Amino acid sequence: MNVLLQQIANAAVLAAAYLAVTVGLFLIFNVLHIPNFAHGEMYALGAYFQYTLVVLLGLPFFPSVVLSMALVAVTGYLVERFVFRRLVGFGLLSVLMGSLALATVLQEVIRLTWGGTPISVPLPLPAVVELGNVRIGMYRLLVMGVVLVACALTGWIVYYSGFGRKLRALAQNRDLSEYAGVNVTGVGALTFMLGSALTGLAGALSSAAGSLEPHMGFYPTLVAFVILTIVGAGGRLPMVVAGGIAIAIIETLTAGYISNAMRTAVVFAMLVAFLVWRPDGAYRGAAVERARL
Amino acid sequence: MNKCLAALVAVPFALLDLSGASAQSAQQTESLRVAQIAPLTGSSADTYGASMLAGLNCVFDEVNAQGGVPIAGRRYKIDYKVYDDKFRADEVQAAARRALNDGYKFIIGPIGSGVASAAQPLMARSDAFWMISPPSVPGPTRNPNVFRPAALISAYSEATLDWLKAHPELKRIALITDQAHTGLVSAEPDLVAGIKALGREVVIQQKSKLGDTDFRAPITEAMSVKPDLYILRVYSVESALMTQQIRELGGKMLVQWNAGVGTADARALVKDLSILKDVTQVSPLLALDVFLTDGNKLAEKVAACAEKRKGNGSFTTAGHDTAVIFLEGLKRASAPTPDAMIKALAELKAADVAGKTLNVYESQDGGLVFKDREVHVRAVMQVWREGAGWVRTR
Repeated sequence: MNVLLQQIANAAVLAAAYLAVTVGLFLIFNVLHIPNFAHGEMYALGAYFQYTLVVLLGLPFFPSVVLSMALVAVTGYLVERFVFRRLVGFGLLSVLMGSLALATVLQEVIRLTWGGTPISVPLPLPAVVELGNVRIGMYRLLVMGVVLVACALTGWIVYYSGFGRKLRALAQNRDLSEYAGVNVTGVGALTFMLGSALTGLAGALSSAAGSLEPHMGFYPTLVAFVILTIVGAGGRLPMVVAGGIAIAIIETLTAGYISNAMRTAVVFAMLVAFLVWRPDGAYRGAAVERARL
Repeated sequence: MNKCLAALVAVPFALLDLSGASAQSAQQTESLRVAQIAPLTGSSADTYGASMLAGLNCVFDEVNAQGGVPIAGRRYKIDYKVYDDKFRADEVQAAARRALNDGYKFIIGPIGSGVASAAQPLMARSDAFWMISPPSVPGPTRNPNVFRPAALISAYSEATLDWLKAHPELKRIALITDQAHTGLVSAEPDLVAGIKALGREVVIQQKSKLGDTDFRAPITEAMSVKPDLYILRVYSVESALMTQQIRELGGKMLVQWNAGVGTADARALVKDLSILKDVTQVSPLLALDVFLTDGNKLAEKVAACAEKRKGNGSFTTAGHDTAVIFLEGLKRASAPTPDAMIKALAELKAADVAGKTLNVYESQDGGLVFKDREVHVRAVMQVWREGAGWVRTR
């Protein structure tokens, strides 16, 4: 076993898990400027919907992933329509507190609906792939592929589609885009739904990779915020992907070569040091007039 | 005239006071208030909280149905109330403070090592009687008002070392310990010393923390030093995740859990049970599984009650045995007070509880159950058997 190569493969698996959560938050945070702390609960909902469909209803795993995505997208729409749309005009603190309260509510809804006992979903592809001395579960490889495709599709939507043009306009200046004829309410709702669907995808895929419990989304969401903070408000999606990979590599190598107990501390210490060095994040176009998505 | 007026005013107050006292007295003859501190919410609520409370309250409800527990010639029903600590160190102090502020003098819980450690300062400051089970962390019982009818953390190490003696082929041992599990952390130096004293090599000692989900990096590191046995000294969810990831990364070594997780909970946590092949678990018997496999009739009765409460799980046995010992102490107390309870438990004989508890409480100091407020209960090595779950092994 080549330990370093295996650790890099481990980092790739971890990066896929982080990016799956981050790409949805990227849309919601960078476009709509909503610090949605209930994002982790949308991720958990994706996992629990998948559990319901696969374990309780006996549906096949992969079609259930699509259904789970759709269910989380609908939940996202409801959350945007009835919570965030009403809060957005009242300042960042209202949105922040609203999203924190929503997170707690959703956690309790999950606990009351599915219980607090950790549960799991059977792995649909239990085989393990051996690439030389490196071993990766077939399912992990599939998740990595799906996440790459999701990132590429999101990139295409944001940077090359007509909807993306409106979306980027909204990200740069909400008022001006409205004057320019962009239906900001519709674009905002659709963006929130898309971000939620991607998060639902992440949750549904994660259901077979670990245990489900109501707080399962907390840490991945925290890391997603770290990635977005490091990249900076105006950062483009490829920078987000690079940031996710960098954090996963740092965390894995710290755990493998320094101490597993230090992995989180090192990531957050580096975040603090990085923000002291570059408070705007890696991409310095955070100012409104220079913001690009 | 003034004296008459004073008497007129005083009489109703005196009557009021008397009626209050008699009402209070009547209430005391009817119930003994017991606070229970356990997770009702959070990730450990159903795994640990529900099963502990089911074990406890099956016993309390049964004794209440029989008219209550006799204390110094009077019968008291157990009036219990649960305070939610979410199994978190930051929540348990608030829960314990609420119980004390509500006037409870008898407290059962907290039920985890980390939370028991966190509540220790309140135990030390309060005049209430505390019974903690199954936390195995040393410390709380240094307070004269805290009793633990559960195995000490050293029981895990003793059983592991006994088992290793019988398995000389296991020469290279790897350990990973959850730093939030204060009991296992405190026992690590003795365990390592014991392993080395057996002539085995501790090839790696790793740390983890509660809530970790990705263990590939430490597993890869551990596999690089080729251990024969990987001892996972972590809680249940992490044990399941680690085992899954060990097998995925090609780890074929023996794996040992220290989580005290019952068969049903293991099945809920691990969908592909084939990964539990060659997995052992060392733990005091906190769940009913092994007793049920042994055909124990008392366990069958407890299981029937616990299942009605959806609480036949990881800590049902711990809850049952704690309640039995609590009641046996009360029966021998001269009054329903913490001081009388402390004296009664200090004099409780192992023979007094034999056959009433599921675990065997070994005699200490001439037949006593408690020595320095601790019991002697052995941990048991179990192995996962397909179809049966956890069964005893040698």
